[in-house]
Amino acid sequence: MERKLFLIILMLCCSLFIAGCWNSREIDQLAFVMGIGLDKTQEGNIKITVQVAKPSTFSKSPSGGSDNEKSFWVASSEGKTIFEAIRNMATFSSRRIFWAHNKVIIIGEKMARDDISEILDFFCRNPELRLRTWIAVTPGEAGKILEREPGMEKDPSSAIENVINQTVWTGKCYRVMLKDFLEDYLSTATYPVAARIVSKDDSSNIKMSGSAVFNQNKLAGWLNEKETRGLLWLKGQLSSSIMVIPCPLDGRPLSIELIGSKADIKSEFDGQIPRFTVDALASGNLSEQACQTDFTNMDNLRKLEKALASAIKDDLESVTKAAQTGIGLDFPGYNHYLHRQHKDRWHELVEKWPGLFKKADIIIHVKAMIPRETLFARPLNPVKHNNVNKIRIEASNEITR
Amino acid sequence: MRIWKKAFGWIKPQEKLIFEDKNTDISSDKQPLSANLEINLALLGKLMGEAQDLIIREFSLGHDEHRAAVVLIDGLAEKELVNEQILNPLMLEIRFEIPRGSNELFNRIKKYGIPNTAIKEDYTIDGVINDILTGNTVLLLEGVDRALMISSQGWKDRSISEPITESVVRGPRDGFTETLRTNTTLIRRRIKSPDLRLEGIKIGTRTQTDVVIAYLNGVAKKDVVDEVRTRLESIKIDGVLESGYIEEFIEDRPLSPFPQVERSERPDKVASALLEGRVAILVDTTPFVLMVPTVFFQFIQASEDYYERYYIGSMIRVLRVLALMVSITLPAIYIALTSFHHEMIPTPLALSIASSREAVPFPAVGEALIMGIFFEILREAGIRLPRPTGQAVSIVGALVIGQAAVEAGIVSQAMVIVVALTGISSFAIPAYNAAVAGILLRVPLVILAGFFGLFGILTGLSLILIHLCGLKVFGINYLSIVTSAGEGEYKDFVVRAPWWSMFHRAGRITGKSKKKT
Repeated sequence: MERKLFLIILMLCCSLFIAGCWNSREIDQLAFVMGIGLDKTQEGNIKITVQVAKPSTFSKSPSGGSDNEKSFWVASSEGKTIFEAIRNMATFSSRRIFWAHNKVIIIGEKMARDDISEILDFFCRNPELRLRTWIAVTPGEAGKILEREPGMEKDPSSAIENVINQTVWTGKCYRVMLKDFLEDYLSTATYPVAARIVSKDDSSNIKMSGSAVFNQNKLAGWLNEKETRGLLWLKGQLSSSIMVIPCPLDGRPLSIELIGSKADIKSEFDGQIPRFTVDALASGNLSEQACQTDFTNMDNLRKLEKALASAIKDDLESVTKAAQTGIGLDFPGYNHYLHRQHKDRWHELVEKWPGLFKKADIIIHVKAMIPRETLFARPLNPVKHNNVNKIRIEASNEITR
Repeated sequence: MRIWKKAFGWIKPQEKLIFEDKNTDISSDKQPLSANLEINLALLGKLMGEAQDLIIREFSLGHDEHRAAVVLIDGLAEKELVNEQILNPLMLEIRFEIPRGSNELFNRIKKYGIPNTAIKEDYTIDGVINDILTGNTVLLLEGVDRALMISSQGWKDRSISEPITESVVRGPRDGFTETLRTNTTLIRRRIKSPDLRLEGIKIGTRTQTDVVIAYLNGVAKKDVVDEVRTRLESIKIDGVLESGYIEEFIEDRPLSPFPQVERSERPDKVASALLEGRVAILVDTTPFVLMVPTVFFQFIQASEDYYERYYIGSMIRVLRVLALMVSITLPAIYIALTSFHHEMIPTPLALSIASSREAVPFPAVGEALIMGIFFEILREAGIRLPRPTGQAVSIVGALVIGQAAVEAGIVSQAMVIVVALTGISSFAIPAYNAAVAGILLRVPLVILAGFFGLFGILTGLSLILIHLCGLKVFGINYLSIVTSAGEGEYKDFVVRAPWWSMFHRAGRITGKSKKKT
């Protein structure tokens, strides 16, 4: 009994030394990839560009390198496949490339136009890569984006990540994580859309602007900022945006911050042709005005709401137009409503839907509200001595009214 | 096999006592007293080895020529008291006729002669010597084969002072001393109930240490009291110098790293244990009183939790649970994350750890072990050294070693933070023995984490949990309250309910949950 116990313990002790450490890696032996850029070369090879953070520049201690030192390192390698390209990286990287902290995947236009199925397969197959990575497409070369030195952050990828996070305030970019992109990609009826990233030519900064629409595994076309905002409306993902509209009374610009946005889509059939009615409901705050109109006056406010509604309608129509006649794909996802609301007829329609969509009748109604009138201030109006009296008279008129 | 036995054979609790000494002359000597004073005194002197502190004062009773003697130990017996209550009445102020018969004289002296509260008779030399050694004074008369023992204990004693190991912000400031009588008094003062039972027992063939089993009759479970008594009676040892000796003898699982007997030098804590129905064991010559049965969560409870308002008490207990977890697992988790699961660290933190680890020559696990050992050495040095030097040690330790080691790139800043956090957290656990036991668990966990990552930590924690679940202390589950709880027991757990809502005594200790009376 005791002998057995002794042997068991001895064996366990031995196993400690033979089994251990097989994937133990010290954290300082890793190269943390922060961003990945994927491009297609002239020869048809895949070129992968990684932006790696240099840890020493992230420490606060004085020994952590001079201020002039770049805190990131951009390297690229080529291969026939993504994995080969990545493995080729080991031929010149002094540390093991570690992917789990990757923030953003940027795909170059050439690659996107060609085929992205390989990218998606690799990125969801590899356990080290996360699905919560932002995905963006750039017109031009993706590797160049990662070399842009950001103004505030230490490395470009963190900057891109933060900029993508900031797009919720503008609504001018369709931001999407790899997991959501994959979901759309695998769905039978949805066309995936990714963010569009461009480098601003005049400065070293990058800019999130518009979006990229994919037809299965190929880039089908771009949407501009206006169309993107319309797309976010239709998908119910617009959380905030600024609408600049001309004042209904004197034409000078006003800005309205959207605080609530909702689009209700109903489908019906007009013979064989489906008809969609989009009922959009918007509410916003008046945040800036250049005109001197007094919007505490309800009549003026109603006019303003009308103007806002027509501006929003313009957005929605632009994206619908892009979908029906421009790109020619149902990327806003009207078919989901048809599928849901007309289950019985959907199966006969599904085959011819791409053609049918182009002929579909889409009617857009927008209702805009500017609640919280009580928070309105009158436009600032400096009262000079020579027209004090005029103002007083106006004020008294208002009171009597 | 032999090596195995040689190396680990001692682990088995020995049935036979190593210390047992067959040739003790004290216990085997049941020699009766002689009627001759000379012989008695000579025998006493011989048995005590003509000890330098033995006082034998021969005198004559009153104006008579009847010879007598007092024997006492200088320092143990209070000489003032002997002068005033024995020598003075017998030599100067004798108030009765001295009868002819010696036995008659003895009885009269016992009846009228000695104004002392506690006197008793003995017939054997052995008994006489025992009494002398406890500080009593022995009166021997010529022609009488009996001795009169007069209580005269009065040695130099440390006064009651604030306990150093368990200080409180709010709460009573008296602490136990090294004198058993003072300690029982401190408990009696708090529980003025005739149900408070103090049972005496002597342990240690040579030290003859007085041990008192204290419990509240009717509240404490009778089985537990009997078990405590049995275990104490079966202890065979030559000497008991501290209650720790007894603690090791009465533990259920001597091999467990977890302390199974709670100890305290706070009378209020012991009194509250008695009120809960637990049994206290007081040992002479030490201020540390043992309390059984003990469950695991008592080690995160401090007496102050009950004195502060219950919000504060509960909050502090939650903090202590956190500190307990941190002190056991933090270094292991740090190692697992930095050498296996880099993806689980938030990116900025990962980069900052990586930057601090750059150019550190050791792997994280080695770094943790080295720093952990250094920290324990510093802690130990700080305790043992005299106070003024102790401060110098902490300055050298913290500043010189900590700062310089980081600047020299031998250890990383992150590791210094982890080790410091761990060390400080372990001090937030009120029971020092439990805190030190944490080291025993921390090191294996660090090694497991170094080999297997989080999988190793979980394996280690599971093993600890399995061990804890099987542990029983005086018939009570060590993890009780977590594993099983009676009526109202959750009210005094990690969160302490207000006093006005705690009506019940814990059933796990008293046998059945009953209303407090």
